[in-house]
Amino acid sequence: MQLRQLRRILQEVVLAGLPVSMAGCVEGGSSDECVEIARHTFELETPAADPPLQFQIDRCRVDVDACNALCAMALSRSDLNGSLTECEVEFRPGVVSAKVTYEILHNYAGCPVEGRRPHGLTRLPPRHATTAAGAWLAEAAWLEAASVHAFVRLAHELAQHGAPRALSRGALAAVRDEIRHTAIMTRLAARHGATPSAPEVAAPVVRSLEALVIENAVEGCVRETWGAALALWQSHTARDAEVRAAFRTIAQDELRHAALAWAIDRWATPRLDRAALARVATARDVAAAALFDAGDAPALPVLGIPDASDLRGLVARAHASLWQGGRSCHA
Amino acid sequence: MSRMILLALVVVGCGNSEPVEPEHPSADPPPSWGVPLTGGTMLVTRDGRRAVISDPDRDRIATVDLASGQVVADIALTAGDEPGRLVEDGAGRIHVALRRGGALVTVPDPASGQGLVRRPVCSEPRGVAYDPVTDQLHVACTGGELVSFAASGGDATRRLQLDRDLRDVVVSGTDLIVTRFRTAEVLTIDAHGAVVDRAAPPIVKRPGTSVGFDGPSPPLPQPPLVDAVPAVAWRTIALPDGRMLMTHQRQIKSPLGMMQGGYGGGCGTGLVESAITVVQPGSAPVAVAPFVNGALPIDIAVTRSMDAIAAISAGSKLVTIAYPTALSALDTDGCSRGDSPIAFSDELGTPSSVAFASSGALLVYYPEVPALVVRSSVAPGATATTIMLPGELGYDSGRALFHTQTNLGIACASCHPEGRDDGLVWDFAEIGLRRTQSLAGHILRRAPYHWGADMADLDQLMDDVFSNRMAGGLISRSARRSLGPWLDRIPAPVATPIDPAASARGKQLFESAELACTTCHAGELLTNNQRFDVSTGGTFKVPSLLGVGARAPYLHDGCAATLADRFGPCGGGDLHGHTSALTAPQLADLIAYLEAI
Repeated sequence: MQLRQLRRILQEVVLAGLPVSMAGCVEGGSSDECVEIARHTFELETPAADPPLQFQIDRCRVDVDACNALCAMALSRSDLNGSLTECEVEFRPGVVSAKVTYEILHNYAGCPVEGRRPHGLTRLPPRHATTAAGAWLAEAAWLEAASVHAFVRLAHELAQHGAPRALSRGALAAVRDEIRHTAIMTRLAARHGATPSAPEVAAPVVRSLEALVIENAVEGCVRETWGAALALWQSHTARDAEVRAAFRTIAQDELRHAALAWAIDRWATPRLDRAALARVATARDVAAAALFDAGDAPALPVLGIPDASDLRGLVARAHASLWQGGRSCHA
Repeated sequence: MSRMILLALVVVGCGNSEPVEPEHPSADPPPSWGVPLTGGTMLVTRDGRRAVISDPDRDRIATVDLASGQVVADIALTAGDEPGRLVEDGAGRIHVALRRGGALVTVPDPASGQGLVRRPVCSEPRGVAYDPVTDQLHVACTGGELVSFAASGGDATRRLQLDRDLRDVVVSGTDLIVTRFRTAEVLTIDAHGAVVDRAAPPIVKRPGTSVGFDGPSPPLPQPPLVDAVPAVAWRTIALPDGRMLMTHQRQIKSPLGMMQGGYGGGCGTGLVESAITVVQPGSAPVAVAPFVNGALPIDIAVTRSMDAIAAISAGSKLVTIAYPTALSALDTDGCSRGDSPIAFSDELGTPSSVAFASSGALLVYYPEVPALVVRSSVAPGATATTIMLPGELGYDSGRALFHTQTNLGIACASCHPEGRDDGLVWDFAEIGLRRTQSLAGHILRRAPYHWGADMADLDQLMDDVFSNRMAGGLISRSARRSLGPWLDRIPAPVATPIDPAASARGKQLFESAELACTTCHAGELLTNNQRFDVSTGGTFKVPSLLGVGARAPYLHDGCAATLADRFGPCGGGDLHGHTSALTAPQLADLIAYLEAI
């Protein structure tokens, strides 16, 4: 999908639902529901026939800092889905116990969606906020800063996979956008009594083209595209004039980032086999469907975050126009 | 809310009634381990029955019987020998260059590992080749020596002194092809020992924008193409058709920035890239479209039938498989890449060597485990067998950090190969030209760091250079603690005085009050770690002179191509040592001393 087409669709999606009046909305709630913390303990039998796992166990035994890789391997081999945040390992005769804490960042419609989340984003942002709007903005600033890492990595991975230079250059241009967005969000968060924290991102790991495409489908074709729509909405509806102005700029940038994601998808998907394409489609559908769970998100009129009803309408229109019917990201 | 799925990889029952106090991982990283990665430390014997592996980290040589998967010989060498490249002669003997041991060790029977014979070669032997016509072995050394031996034994039969920094040697008819490590230059030596040709991989073009993440965000203009020049020839091998294949790096000649991501280039990667060049004797080398997936392309192998190529990227821990068409796909400048349909990781740490058996089986050596992974072929779905090799787990998170590529696809070792330097001068947007400094030789006693002494310690350097400029992200506590001690174990290059008498006279001059060299280049490391303006273009930290002969070009901007040039117009004159009154023979003596430090 080209930038112009994407812009037209999102304008239709947003403008069709803009409220006539926003009087009477109440600010409240928090963005904590956007992040779920989960824990699980793996009992790993010393695996003589599994050299990679044994290698990670051996490394962990001699240096606690190497244990994250063991926990990450255990997590990645399970069907649990999330980013590792904490790892605690104990050794007992014949068994290694790995207590894994991980976080799942939800795509609920009211959650901050600014920028891409990089693989290996390891820590939940601490809440140094006195207001819900401040908390939302602080998390948005954290996500913007994290997306700097994501776009650097994306540019590199695109080059590694032989993508056209225009795509990696688009990712590098997005890096600069996201740095600017981080500064904007940080300033707005401070105005609303919140201090964002810096994201911590684990060292990059080598990934297949399929992993890149799945991440692009979830983070780009769905989350950034949705983020562009939400930012466009906020640019019209936020009560705070500075927030409105900020989101006017951010919406256009995020729109370009979304278009980049769709362009990456257009280039990459022909290079995947049928089974991989099915996995990409599933990941994208799950991410898009999660946006419907807007009931948990509070309205934040000062920032232009609509109430649940408006959010559902916005999501439904975006879904119908962009992701419905299992169409491919670039259909 | 998300569904919580409880899963254990292996659920262990509760039958053990004896309470056992669990153990916890060590809170302190283990002592420093291992040497810088060099690649190319494995061969498969001509009969295809055995793999012989040098283990430079443990000073061992292991022989694996490929049919049974058993280790049939485990040879312990002298501590610090650092076995490297190896070659098989016509009688089935294996000859191994001992990189720090300064010798060539012969394993007469690789199946038993008995009867080792050791012959001194030079300070730092690197490449080794066997000529079946003359039954001679040829060993290339860092100091520029090219030393020949009869394969059957005995002292050196010939000793040539060529340019420094020799790397691999390949027999090509009656000639020898010798590569130089940092320049990637290719020397042709005829049967009489004369250098009859010099060539280098071609310069290609790349977009040269330094990304730098600070500043405004205008639409990026189309970046100009800049030169990408050959550097760091990690490995050169002979192809069955008489050509040679070199895996090396290129320096993209674009300014670096000191801001976040400032070491990035216009292709979304860093300003160092992995490259492949085909060398054909008598013809100009040809650059093929890059196909190695990642930084530090330290080894490459080709099947006997030339139907598959395997290359290792230590930075990404990947093995890339390519097909012969990759060698005919020429580099077309820009960011295009060659076709490399398969890249895989065995998740056993960093691979360091790769080889093919005559059957087409692919062997990859993982030094940390240590293990050898044997794949029946390069086809997808081929069976893979992991053979555990002798030795304990090798673990050093500092070494791992040093060789791991960042988000920009560059590693510390990209510019500091083997813990030393790439011999290159870099153009920093903020401060101008800076020659890469060597890390070898007591780095922990040489703080502060950089030419400007602007890095108080390695902590600051890791944060500013690795995390920020190289976009390397977080550095673990363990890696932060381990990098310095690991680097500190890398010795400065060892030089052998070519003319000991001249060197001794030069030492007297160097230490004389008249010349005053030791005012600044003092102490064991020949530096006082202070900053001075000696009229070379600014105020710079006094560099250690240990191994100085091995790290041309000289001075902060590399303006002096040789040590002799250092005493020329750009050397600072008498503010930089009172040397203007030296006679030509005295200056030659002084240089002979510096070459031998």
